[in-house]
Amino acid sequence: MPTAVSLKKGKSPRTRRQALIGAAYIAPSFILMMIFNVTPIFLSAFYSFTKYNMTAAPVWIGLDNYARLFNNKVLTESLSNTVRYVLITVPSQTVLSLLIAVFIAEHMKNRYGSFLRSVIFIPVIVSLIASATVWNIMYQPKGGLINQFLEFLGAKPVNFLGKKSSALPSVAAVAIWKASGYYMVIYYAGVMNVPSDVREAAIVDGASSVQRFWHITLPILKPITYMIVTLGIIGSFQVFDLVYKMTGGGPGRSTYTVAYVIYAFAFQDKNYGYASAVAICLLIVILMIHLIQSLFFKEKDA
Amino acid sequence: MKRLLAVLLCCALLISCMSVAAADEKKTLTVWIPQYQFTGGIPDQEFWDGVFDPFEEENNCEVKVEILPWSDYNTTVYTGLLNNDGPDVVYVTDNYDLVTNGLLLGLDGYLTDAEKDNYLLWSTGPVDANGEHVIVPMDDGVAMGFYNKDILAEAGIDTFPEEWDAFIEACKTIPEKTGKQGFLQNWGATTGTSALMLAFWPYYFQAGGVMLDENGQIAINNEAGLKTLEFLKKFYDEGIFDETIVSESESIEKFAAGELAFVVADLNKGKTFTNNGVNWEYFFSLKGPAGYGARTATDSFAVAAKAKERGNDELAVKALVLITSGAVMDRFHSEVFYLPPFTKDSSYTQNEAYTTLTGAHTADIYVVSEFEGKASFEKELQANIQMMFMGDLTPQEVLDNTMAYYTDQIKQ
Repeated sequence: MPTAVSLKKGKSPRTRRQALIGAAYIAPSFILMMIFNVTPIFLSAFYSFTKYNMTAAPVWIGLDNYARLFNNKVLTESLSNTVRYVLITVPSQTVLSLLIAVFIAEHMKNRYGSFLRSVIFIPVIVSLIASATVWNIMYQPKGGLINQFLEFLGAKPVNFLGKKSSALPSVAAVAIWKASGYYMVIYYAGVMNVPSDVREAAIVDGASSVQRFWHITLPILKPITYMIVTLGIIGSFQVFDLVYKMTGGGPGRSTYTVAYVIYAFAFQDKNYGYASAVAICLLIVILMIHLIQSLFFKEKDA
Repeated sequence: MKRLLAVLLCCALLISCMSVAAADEKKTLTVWIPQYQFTGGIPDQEFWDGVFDPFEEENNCEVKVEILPWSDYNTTVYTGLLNNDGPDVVYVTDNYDLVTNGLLLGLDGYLTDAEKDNYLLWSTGPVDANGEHVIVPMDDGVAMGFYNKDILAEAGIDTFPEEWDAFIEACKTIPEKTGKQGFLQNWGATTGTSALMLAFWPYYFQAGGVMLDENGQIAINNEAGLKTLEFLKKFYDEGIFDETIVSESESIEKFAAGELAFVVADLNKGKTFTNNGVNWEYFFSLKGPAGYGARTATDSFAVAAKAKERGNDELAVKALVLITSGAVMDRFHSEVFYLPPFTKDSSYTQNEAYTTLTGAHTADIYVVSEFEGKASFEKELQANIQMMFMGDLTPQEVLDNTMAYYTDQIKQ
C-alpha cells in the first residue's frame, strides 16, 4: 500500500492515484475516529484547565484542578480500588482463559469442544448491563441463586454486594466471567498455531504434557499473552458500567473506581473541568503502565 | 433503461423527502416521568400513553412518554435538559441546579390566572432569573410510620415507644420475646438517596436540625447531625438493622407478612397491610431530643427551556397542564400511586387518619430544602453513613467528610 512518504516522493501518476483511492477508503473511518475518539481527548485536556458545568462558558483556572487531585480522599480510595480490581481481574481472566483454551485444544478436539467454546463465548456477546442485572439478581442476599445454593450446602447467606470485603471481588468475578470467553478464543487460535512438529518432537523426547505446556506452548503464546494482559489492564482500569449498575460505587465507597468517580465528578457533581483533569491523569497512568509493560516484555524477549 | 431507473430513483427520493417534510409538520413532544408503579397495577407507560392518546389526536402531535428509573434520576434529568434532544416536559426531583442554570422554562406567561390558582403550592415554587415561576410543585406527602399492635402486645409493650431510647429498647426486646424483627430500613447497598429521605432527614429534624444556615447554605455539621448519626449507629451496633435489606420494599413486605414490628412507608400501604391481616396503627414520627419531626418534599413537573428553542413550548405547557390536571391526577391516584392532591380540582381526598395526624403535627412537618448540588450531597452523605456502619468512619467524621467534599467538590 502506498504511504504518505511515497505519495510525497510522487513516483508515478498511477501510484498517486492508488494512494488517493486508499486514502478515500480509510477517510470515513479516519474522520469518525478523529471526531469521536481523538477530539474528545483534546477537548478533555482543554476542559481540565477550566471550571465548567456545561451551562456557563468554561473559565480558565490553569493548573488548579490538577493541584486539587493530590488531596482528594475519594480519588485516592478509587485509585486503590481500581488497582485492586486490576490485580483481581487481569491475572484471573488471563490464566483462566489460557487454561481453558489449552484444555480444549489438547483434549477436546471434537464437536463437544466446539460446543464448549461457544458456550464460554456467550457472555462476551451479552450486553454488559444485562449481565450486570442478571448477576445482581443472582447475588441477592435473599432468594438469589448463589445464596440459595449456599443455603442448600448449609452455609449462611452472604450479602455479596453489600459488604465492603466482598463487593469489589463480586463485581470483578462478573468481569472475569464476561471477558474470559473472548481471551479464550484468542488463546485457542494461538495454541492451534503451535507447530505440530515441535510438539511431536517433544513427545518423542518424552516430555510430559506439563513440560510441553511450560516449555513450548507458553513461550510461543507470549505475544498473545502480552496483548491479552495489555487489553485486560486497559479495560480493567476503565471499569465503569459494571460498578454503576451493580453497586453504584457502594457500599460506602468500596467499589468506587477511577472511571466511576470521573462520571460522578462530571455528571453528578457537575464539575466537568475537574473530572477532565482526572480523566487525563487516568490516560497518562494507562500509557505509563503500557510503556513499562512493553519495556518489560521487550527485555524478557532480549 | 438506465434513464428510467434514474428517474424512478429520483422520484423515490423526492417522495421520501416529501414524507419526511410531512412528518416534520407533526410535532413530537418528549415527556420524562419516573417509575411510580411498584405493585402489580397498571404499568406507568400504559397509564401515561392512555392519558396522551386523546391529546395527540387533538393537537396533531406525537407524545413520547419515557419512564425513567429512580436510580441517578437527577443526573439523568440535568444532562437531558442540557441536550437538544432532551425532554420537553419533565418530572423534577431536585430543582435548585436546574433553576439556577436556567434549564427550565418560565411558566407565568403561558398559564392563565385560573390555571395558576388551581395549583395549591404554586406560590411556594422557585422563580428563575426573570422572576417567573418555573415548576408546578406537588405535595409528596409525609411518610408515616406503621406499627404492628399484635407484635407489640406479644412483646409486652403497652404503648408505642416513641422516644428514641425507648424505641431502640423495644427493637431489642421484640426479637427476644417474639422471634420477630423490630425495625428495618434500607441502609444496605442501595444506590440513590432514597434511604436518606426516610432514614436520615426525619431523625435530623427530631434532633432539632435545620438544613440550611442563615445564608441558605446546607449545614449539617452540628449537634443535631451528630446526635442523628449516633442514633443511627446504635441501630447497627445493636444488631437491629439488617444489612441484607437493600430496598424499601423488602421491609414493607416483611411488615405485610407480620414479621416486622415497625416500618416507615407511604400512607397507601395501609390497605395492603389490612388486606394481609396485619393489626396495625400509624405513628407520626419518633420523638427525638428536640421533639417530633417528619419530612415532606415537593417534587414537581416542569417544561424544559430548550422546548422553546424547539418550538414546542406552547404544546409542552399544554401537556404539563394536562398531566397536572385534577382529572389525570385522580386517575393516577387510584390506578398507579397515592400522591396527596396538589390541585384544587382534584376530587380525591386525603386519608382521614393522615389528615388527623398531620393536622395535629403541623409544626413538626419539615420540608427537605433545595440547595446547590443537593443530589450529590445526599449521595456523598449516604456513602459516608454506610462507611460509618462498616466501621470506617465515626459519626463526626461522616459530618466532616461530607461537608469537606461538598465545599471542595460540589459547591461551584
